[in-house]
Amino acid sequence: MTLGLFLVPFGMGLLVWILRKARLLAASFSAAACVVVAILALSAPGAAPIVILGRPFSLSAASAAHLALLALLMAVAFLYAYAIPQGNLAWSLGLVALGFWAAALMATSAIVAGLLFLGGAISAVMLVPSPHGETAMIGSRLLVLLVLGGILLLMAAQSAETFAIGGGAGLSPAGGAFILTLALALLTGLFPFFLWFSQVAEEGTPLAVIVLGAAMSTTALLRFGDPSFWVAPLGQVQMTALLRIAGIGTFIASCVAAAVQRRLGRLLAYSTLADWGLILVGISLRQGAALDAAMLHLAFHNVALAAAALANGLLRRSFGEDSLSRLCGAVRRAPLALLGVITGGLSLSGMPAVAGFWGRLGLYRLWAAQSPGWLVAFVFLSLGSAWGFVRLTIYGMEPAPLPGSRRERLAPALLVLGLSALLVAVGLVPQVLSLIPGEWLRLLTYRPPAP
Amino acid sequence: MLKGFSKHMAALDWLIRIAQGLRPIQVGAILALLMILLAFEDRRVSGLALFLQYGLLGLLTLPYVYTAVALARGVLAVGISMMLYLSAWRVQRQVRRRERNAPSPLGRQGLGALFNLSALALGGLLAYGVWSAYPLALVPRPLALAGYWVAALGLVTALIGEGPLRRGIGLMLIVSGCESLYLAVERGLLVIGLVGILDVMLALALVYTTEMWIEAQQGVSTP
Repeated sequence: MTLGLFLVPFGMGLLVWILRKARLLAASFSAAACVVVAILALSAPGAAPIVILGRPFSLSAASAAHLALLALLMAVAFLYAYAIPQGNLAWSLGLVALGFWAAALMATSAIVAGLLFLGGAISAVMLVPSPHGETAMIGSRLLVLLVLGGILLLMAAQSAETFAIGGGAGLSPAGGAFILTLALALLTGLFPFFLWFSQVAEEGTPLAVIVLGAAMSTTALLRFGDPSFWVAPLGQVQMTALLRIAGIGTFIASCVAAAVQRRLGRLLAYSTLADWGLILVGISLRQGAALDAAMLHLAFHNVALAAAALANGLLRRSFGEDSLSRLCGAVRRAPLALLGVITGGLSLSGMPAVAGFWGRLGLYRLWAAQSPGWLVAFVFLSLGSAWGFVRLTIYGMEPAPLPGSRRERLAPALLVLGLSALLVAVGLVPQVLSLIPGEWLRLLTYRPPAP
Repeated sequence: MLKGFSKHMAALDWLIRIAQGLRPIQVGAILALLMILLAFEDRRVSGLALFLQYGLLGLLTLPYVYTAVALARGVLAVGISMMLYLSAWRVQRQVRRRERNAPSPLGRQGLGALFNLSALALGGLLAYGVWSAYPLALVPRPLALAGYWVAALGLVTALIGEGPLRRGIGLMLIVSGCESLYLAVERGLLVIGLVGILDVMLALALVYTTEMWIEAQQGVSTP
């Protein structure tokens, strides 16, 4: 069963590559493979580990639910890609990336996990280049950045393993923690390396945004963001402090950047990164409740990003571009896409009545206990990214649609509506979370026992 | 069959003896040649430089890896170099076509071989400084020098290179330099196998990105 978690995506990726011209089959098979991965992930914790060439693989409870959620979001994106083309290789590349990251989450060895993670990142970057515009150059720059981040990650992993077996050679715990945080900053787009994600969100396809912004970042955080990854206490303390600095820096810079954006793709990217910064701050608090809140918020964050990215793709198709001022009358031409962007964006900004609010509320309450002054600043800065989506609502509600714009396609818009409905349902009635089976919810907010 | 096998083993032993006999000054001379090749604007020459460094690093790591692994990595290096050389050939053809049809910034993208050489020399010096200041206890000195040097040249090429292919060749050099240092101490087959898979994936990603870039350029040139 554990083996299936990465054999299914790789095998289906190959099949889908053969069937790439038969779009309906490719989309259906890819989505089905993701659903299978989600089911396998939820049943994997507790299963006996498998050993490949002497290295054990098993999926921890901490990773299982998030992997399942990511697989389901990718299934939605694959179905969407049938109606809104994302490139013939999109399905295969997405599945291969999912397979690598599932294996990275399962690998017990940090070095093997790092190599598998890098394999997924290389596959995911190939989703960005297209024969149009500047996407090839963006993909090329991103490839350099991610491979450099991957090399740093491997250095940190080597150092961690050396310490784990009691070896003296290698980086000091503090140096290793610094290198790992730097690698995470490069790979997940933390301040000051956060510009790459805005370029991808502006020029790339919605699938690329979801795979790179949600799946890759979540995998990196789950596998390498846990300070207990470091055996030496000094490394843990140092990494926690560095993560907090990176999180706060990313949040502040992204909120300010989001407030001044005039293009929806960039607004979405900076809002995502601001929310991501806050999740890191939650993890850096190193309290059980904060980790629970951060993990739950991470799930809301990924759903909101998927909804907004898919909806942005629909708006781009309807209006030809994504400048806020050009989206006049979106409520008439693409009402469901507009709803998707607004609910997703407001959830990423932590506004009330959507799921992100409850995730953030939990984090805010814990942060308030530590530093009330910072909390006021956080809430105030959040209004920066929310303001961008309010402006979009104002433009979108204008009665006259732009000449030349066309109506949204119904099938992908319904997928967006489903995700938006989920965000609004949790936002208005948070008790709906209790509908999720108790053991799955516990998996979602699982935290490892204190060492 | 046995005779053929023993012939191959004798050739391998001969290569290992050469690798063990290489002195830092000889390695330095090959690295200087590599630097000069990388300075040329023509992407096909950069492809040759990539092949040369694979040869050098393969030779230097030969005594420290399993024979089968060394052979597999050799085949991989030839395959990757050929893929990137073909891609480089296509890019050069596109650049020439653009220059013939209409003079464009594409033809002047590079900053000049002299500038490239100066930047690469600085990178090489930096690598030499790091090699002298931070010797790696578990890695032989000539291999460490070559690894640092190739990675530094790759970093400079990735920084100053214009277009996805030159930048990508820089990236391959960085990865290759780091790998050679790591493979001297790593014996795990899973890790070595994954490193090989990553090399192939990286080369495929570079070729794919370059093809997309060429198509985008052709789209620009055709109104």
